[in-house]
Amino acid sequence: MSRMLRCFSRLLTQGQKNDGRSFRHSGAQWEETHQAEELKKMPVSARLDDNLALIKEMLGRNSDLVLRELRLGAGGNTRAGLIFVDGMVDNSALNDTLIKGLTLESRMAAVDGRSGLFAVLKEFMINVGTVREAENIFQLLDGVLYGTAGLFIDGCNRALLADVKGGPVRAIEEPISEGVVRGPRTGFTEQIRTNTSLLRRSLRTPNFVIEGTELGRDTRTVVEIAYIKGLAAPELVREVKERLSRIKIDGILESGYIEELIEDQPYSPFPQVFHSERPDRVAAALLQGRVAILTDGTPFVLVVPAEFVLFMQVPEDYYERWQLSTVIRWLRYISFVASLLLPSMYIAVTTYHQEMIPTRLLISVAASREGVPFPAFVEALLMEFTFEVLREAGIRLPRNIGQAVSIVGALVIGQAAVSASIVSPLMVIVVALTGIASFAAASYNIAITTRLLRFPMMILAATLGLFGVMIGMLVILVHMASLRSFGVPYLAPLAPLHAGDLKDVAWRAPWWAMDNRPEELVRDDRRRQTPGLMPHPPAPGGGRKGGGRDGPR
Amino acid sequence: MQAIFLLIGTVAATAIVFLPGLTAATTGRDSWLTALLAAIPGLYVAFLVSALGRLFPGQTLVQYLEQILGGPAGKAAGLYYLFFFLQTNAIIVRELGELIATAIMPRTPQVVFAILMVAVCAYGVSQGLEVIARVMELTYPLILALFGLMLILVSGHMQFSRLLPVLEHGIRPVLLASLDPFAWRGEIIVLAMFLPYLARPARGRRNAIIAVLLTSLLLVLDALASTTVFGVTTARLNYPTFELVRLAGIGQFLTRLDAVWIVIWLFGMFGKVGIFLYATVMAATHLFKLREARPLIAPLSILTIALSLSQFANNPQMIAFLTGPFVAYSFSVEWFIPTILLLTARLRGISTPKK
Repeated sequence: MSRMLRCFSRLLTQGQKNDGRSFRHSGAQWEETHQAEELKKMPVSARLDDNLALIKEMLGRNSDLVLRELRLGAGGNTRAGLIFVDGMVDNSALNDTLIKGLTLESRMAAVDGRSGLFAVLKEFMINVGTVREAENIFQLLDGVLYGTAGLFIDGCNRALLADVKGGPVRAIEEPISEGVVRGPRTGFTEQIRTNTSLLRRSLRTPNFVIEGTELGRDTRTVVEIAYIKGLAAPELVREVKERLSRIKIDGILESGYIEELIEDQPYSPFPQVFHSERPDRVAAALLQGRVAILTDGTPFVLVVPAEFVLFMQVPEDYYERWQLSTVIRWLRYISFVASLLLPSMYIAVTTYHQEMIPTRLLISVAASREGVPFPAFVEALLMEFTFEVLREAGIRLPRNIGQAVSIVGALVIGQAAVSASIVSPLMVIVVALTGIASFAAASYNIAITTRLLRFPMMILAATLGLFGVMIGMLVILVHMASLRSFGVPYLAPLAPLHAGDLKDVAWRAPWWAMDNRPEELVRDDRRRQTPGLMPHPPAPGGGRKGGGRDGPR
Repeated sequence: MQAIFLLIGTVAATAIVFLPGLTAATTGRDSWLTALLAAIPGLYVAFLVSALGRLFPGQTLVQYLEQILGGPAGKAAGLYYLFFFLQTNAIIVRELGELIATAIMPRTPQVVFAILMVAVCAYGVSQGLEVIARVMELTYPLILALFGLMLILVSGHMQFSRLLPVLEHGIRPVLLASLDPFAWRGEIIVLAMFLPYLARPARGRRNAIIAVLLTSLLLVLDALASTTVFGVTTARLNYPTFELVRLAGIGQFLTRLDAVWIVIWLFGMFGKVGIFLYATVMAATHLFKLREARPLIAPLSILTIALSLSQFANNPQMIAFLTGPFVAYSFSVEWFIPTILLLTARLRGISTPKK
């Protein structure tokens, strides 16, 4: 916490030096660069009344601010003021620990003088985890607005900040966007401390580092980067910090803001930052030498660098048997290609290359397209458009109405459009397959990419047939080959080829065969496990001979 | 690894489609022998290029041309090379257009194919050699796998007795006919234009040799397959490999895979056109000692497109050129000048710089 604050204030002072002027605009209430400077110059007064008057003047209009006057010390003859924001503090901690300690226990403390009382309070009486001193108004306000309680003591020119942060938070739930059949059910929450604790729990090594900063002039969002020292390349960590420190914005409300501000190639349709709301997925990425960026207020944690194959893997691949995972993974690759190419292939083949279709199928294709007045391209566009609208409507509507949408979509549009001969049944099948294939994507944001690229591909197919499709594929491939995510080539380990890393791409090697960490990410400590972990059960009746060999000899 | 794919792509992409037909026309059933023989000059060029590359590390062909031959002669030779790369690329683009027009899109004008293909390659070149290499690294395994699949699928049609008799008319026609593939194999000369930009130029010779051998293997297999399937009629086919693919089918339902094959072969063509465009751009940059290569990409691409369309009136004319004057032309570029260069460099006492 204190490190975070130190880091933040350093960041803040830098910000003032560089950009103080450019941010200034008149009439802003909480104009950081300008106001913070003034507030920092305002020391905490020794007179309680002055302090309270100042706070009232600044924040008094807020109905959620609580200012409470107390009497402390032996005989209760020292006046004090407690300030906190209602709803941002944990009431039980506040009442039972802080106020009780202040009002009841401090009476028994036999100390003389105000500064003596201050020290005793700080060191003995306030029974909460973190207690800090605030020397100026800025530090005090900064703490109070983040949910700590501030305490002025009459006669002391410092204030105390007791960490009683709390208030309503969402409980840890199963992540909605990334479900698994087998695997942990925990998902990140909106609270960054909960999230770091979830990670810390799975990575107990002292090398696991969480470093914090604050981003956003007005939101003051806590953003922390997490990595494993010794695994994550130091250049990478430096680069992440560097890119984060470049962000000067009024607010960060979701990690998506950060994602777009730190990408390598901002115009690319391909995601270059991975995000997940599963602690196990992020922990696994950290073990590969990646860096995670946690943002307060969102369950989505960013992971960099993110190459293409990362978007093709799901955590369950590693929990289920490896044969199955391998097959499923291939299924996913195929469905990725299908969701990108299926409609355009259909258009190209039915429009230009009918000879490729087996004769019997050709007859039924021709028969099904008989009454349809549109060319395949228009037909496909129509259906894709309908499908996208349905999908969007299904997401935005309340859940119970969402079902109605799917009924309307499936029955009315699918069935009726076919019987009205607006589209051919084959096209419905193609579009439905494409949709299903895109749902099979391992992560949502790579599915968005195929969703977008599908349309230019369809246009190319309609104008130039398979040649057009191939030109489109080449452009996409060249683009992907030129992408990098935080220095890592996007198509690694396929191109540039790292044969050793294909064990987690071409198939999912069994755990006992995954001896090394990815080449592109980790340079020093590449060994993941002792080699030769393949289990060798003792032969029946064979004594001790085969009972778990140590190495592959 | 990437370098090997780059070089295989350089030679094999077009050779595999056009060569069997060309050589079969003169040697009939011995065309596989010419394919085998042509490996030797290929190896020779690989040796020349890597030897020159070792003498002038960090320099491309056009740069050391001037150093060896001196100002005016070097400039002239550089211009000659620039034109060779440009024209060869135009020919490649034309070959591509011809095949696509014949095979899958007969009613679309060729200019469309040329413009789109060169545009994609220009995009690749603008992203750098590494990007082209990566794309080839990704797609070549696919192409090779498809080639293997095709061989397996047509194996039912093969009759090895069609290879007999070997050397019916003696060795002379075989040797003569192997001049065509000589020209093709010599295309490996483009290595001299990007050798310094490889991650490990020192391994250039090894990679070039592997690439030449692998390409030869591919071409020999291809020639054998076409001869065993079609016999002497191979000579009358424009694109025997393509005809082979037409024969290939899976079961009763997938009988026409040719369009798929052509489409995948386009990946290979991307590599080839891309590399030649890269070589052209680099040659121009170094010849005129420009600081930036990028501004040259667009004009040279347009020039390539224009040249590819205007050079020949039709396919037979192109084939006549390829089997006639082009052989001598490329012979001079691929062997004669490099050999002279190496000899002159040796005579002038330029030795491998010490590290």
